[in-house]
Formats: sequence, structure tokens, C-alpha cells
Amino acid sequence: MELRPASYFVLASLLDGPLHGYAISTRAAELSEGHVRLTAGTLYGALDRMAARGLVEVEREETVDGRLRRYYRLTGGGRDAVAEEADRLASAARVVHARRRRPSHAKGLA
Amino acid sequence: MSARTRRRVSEVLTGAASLTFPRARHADARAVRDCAREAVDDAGLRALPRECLSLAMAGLRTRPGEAALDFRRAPWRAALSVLTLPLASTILLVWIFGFIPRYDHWPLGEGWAMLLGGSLLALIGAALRYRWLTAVGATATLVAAAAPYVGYGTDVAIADTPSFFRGWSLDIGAASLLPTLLLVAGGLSLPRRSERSARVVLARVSAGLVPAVIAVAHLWPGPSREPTRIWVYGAPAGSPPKLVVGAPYEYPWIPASRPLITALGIALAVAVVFTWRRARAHPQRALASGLVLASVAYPLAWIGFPSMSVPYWAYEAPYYWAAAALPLMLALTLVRRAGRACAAPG
Repeated sequence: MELRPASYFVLASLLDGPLHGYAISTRAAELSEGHVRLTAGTLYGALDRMAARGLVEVEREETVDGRLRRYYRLTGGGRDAVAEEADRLASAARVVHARRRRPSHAKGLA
Repeated sequence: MSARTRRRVSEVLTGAASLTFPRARHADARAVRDCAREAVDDAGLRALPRECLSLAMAGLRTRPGEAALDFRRAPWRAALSVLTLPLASTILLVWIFGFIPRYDHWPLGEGWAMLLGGSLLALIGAALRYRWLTAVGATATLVAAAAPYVGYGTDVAIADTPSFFRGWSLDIGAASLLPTLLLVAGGLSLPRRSERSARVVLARVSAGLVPAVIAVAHLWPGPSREPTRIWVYGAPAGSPPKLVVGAPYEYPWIPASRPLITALGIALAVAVVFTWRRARAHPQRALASGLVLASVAYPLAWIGFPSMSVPYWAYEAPYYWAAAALPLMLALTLVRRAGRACAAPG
């Protein structure tokens, strides 16, 4: 199952353990080097969809400074999905890198 | 702007944006809203419009799903089943109001035989909770009531449309079509086999016949009935016009009746209010009254809103459809309330 970049980084951010919504958002931005910036509405929409697909689940809720924080964690399916996506991306990247390292082949084509 | 003011502005605006979430998703709304507030605290007020918009859109996106869920959870079959007896009783009442003041000859025309016989059959079937008897009776009534609209069994109304409709007030014949269709569905939703104790059946038949008996008492003896077709020929000046009385009108036709419309309106309003309040305990009843309300939404618009003196095609149809949206929305709310009641624990 192919993951969108935002979903991939959301799942990747949960690999180290459960996080609450805003922490997921900031972690995903860090991991993607700023490429994935999720607003609260978009993030929770994505988390809802992933929960419906069994990739993540709500771990607990707690109130901090009068604000509700909902913590999510990866399920086994979510861990597998993000690993499969990482393999797929790595394999796709290898194809390009291998060709970029062969200048003679590139010259021959030219 | 001080940090406190900034926080206050953020709380007010994100709180307002989170109102787009349905009430059933209150906890989700709170989690998303508080996440947005944390983002605004970190990024400053420049993030506020983006977070508010995202929050509002997230709330709106959940609404169709929530509505669909309520619709799926609503007890459709139980509601259809529960409305059979009151609806059959009402439809019989309507056709008695059409029949007694108008019909002045024998034998009974086939249209009237089907309307009255079918309504009575449906009522007895609903009292017995016998699905095929109810469905067959209701179907016969529906066929007779709908026949004029496909060119059978009546004269020609405005715009050459075959209809019961005479160009004024409310055509109750047309208004009865959707409720009768609902009764057919109600009949088919009855259980295949149900316990029928004679006492219970008798009580149900008696209860179902009460409105019809009251109607007969109200209408009988009616005013002397006039022959239905009269032609008036012009006469030379000074002499009275000549009246020619034609054959009796043998097809079903029902004029608008204020006592009938008032009684039906009061009964429907009472049913809606009562079932709304008891929706948690009896969601099928709330759904049943919502279905009946939806089936008469357009006639209600005709009764409840003043007529406009503009060409029908240009204004009145959209106007009445817009007016019908109000009872339709109330009906939808009843359906969703019933669905939510079914999902509620306990």
C-alpha cells in the first residue's frame, strides 16, 4: 500500500513512540526537513484515516495546561506499512543513484 | 500585543472555528482545537488564519460522514413497521373526507372502490400486522390515487393536466401519494409472522377506525350533494341561462377541506413534538414521524405559506420547493436524532 508523503512522515514520527497531535506535526516537519508542514485540521484528518485503516491507534488522552492532548501510537500494521514504504522509496532511489554513478553510460546515451 | 491577549485571541478564534464539528464529535473537536492552539502559541499569530481555516474545514469534512453514519444506524425497518397503523388510519380518513361530501350515486365507481377498499384493507392488515394484506391494500389505494396523473379516471385540470387538482388550494389526492407509498413500504416491512391475539387486533382495528368514525360523524349527514357536472349555456338577453345537469362524476376527486387539513396538521405537529422528545427511548417513532413529515413536506409548504400572484413556472414552484425545505430539514433532523439514539449506549 503506497503512502502519501504526509502519511509517511506522520507514521515515521511515531516510530520512536507515542506522540500527541502537535508533537507529531513538529516531528514530521523535522524529519521531512520542513517539506511536510501539517496544520491541526489536516493532521487529525490524516490520523483519522490512518486509524480507520488500522495503521495507528489512540493510546491515551491527557489534559495539559487546560488543553486536551490525544496521544497516538503505531500499530503493527502501521509499522509494517511505513517500513514497506521506506523500502519502496529506497529501491526507487537506488535506481536513480546507480545510473548517476555511471558517467560512461550517460555519455554513451548522449 | 501581549502574550495573554494573543492567547485569548487564539482561543476565541479557534473555538469559533471548531464549532463546525458536529456535536457528536465534541471530543475530537477539542483535541484538534487544542492542537491548533499549541501551533499558534509556537508560531505566533501569523499561523492563526491558517490553523482556523484548517480547523473549520476539518469540522465540515466530518459532517457528511457523521450524517451518513446516523442514517445507517437509524432503525428504518422498525420505523416503517411502526407507522403502518396510524398512516393507514389517516389515509382512510382522507378518502372518507373526499368521498362523503362528493359521491351521490350508485354503484360505487372503481376508483372510489379501490381508494376506500384499499385503505380499509391496509388498515386491517396493519392491525393484524399482516404484511401482504397491508401492502396490497396500500398499493390498490396508491394505484387509484395516482391514476389521474397518468391520464386515467378524471377530467382535465389547468394546463391540460389530468388531475384531481382544480387550480386552487391543496390537492389532497396528490398530497396522499407519497404517504401511501410510505404505507406500501411499511406493509412490506412488517414481520413475516407475528403473534396476533384477537384482543390486541380488535383494539388496534378499533383505534385505527376512530378517526374514520369521527370523520363520518362530522360529515354525515352532509349538505345535499350536487350533481357533479353542470353545463351552463348562454341564453338570449333577458332570459335565464339554461342549466344542463350531466352524468354524476364517477371518479375520485377530493377537494381541500379546512377541518381535515387542520386535524391532520395538529396530529402531525403533536406526533413530531412527542416523538422528538421521546427519541432516545423510542427512536423508531421519531424516525417514523420524520418519514411522514418528509412525505408531506411539499403540501405543507402549500398550506403554510401564502400564494404568490406570479406565473407558476416563473416563481411559485421554486418558492414552494424552498418552503418545503423547512419541513424536510426538520424531518432530516428527526432521522439523525433517531440514528444517534440508536448509537447511544444503553
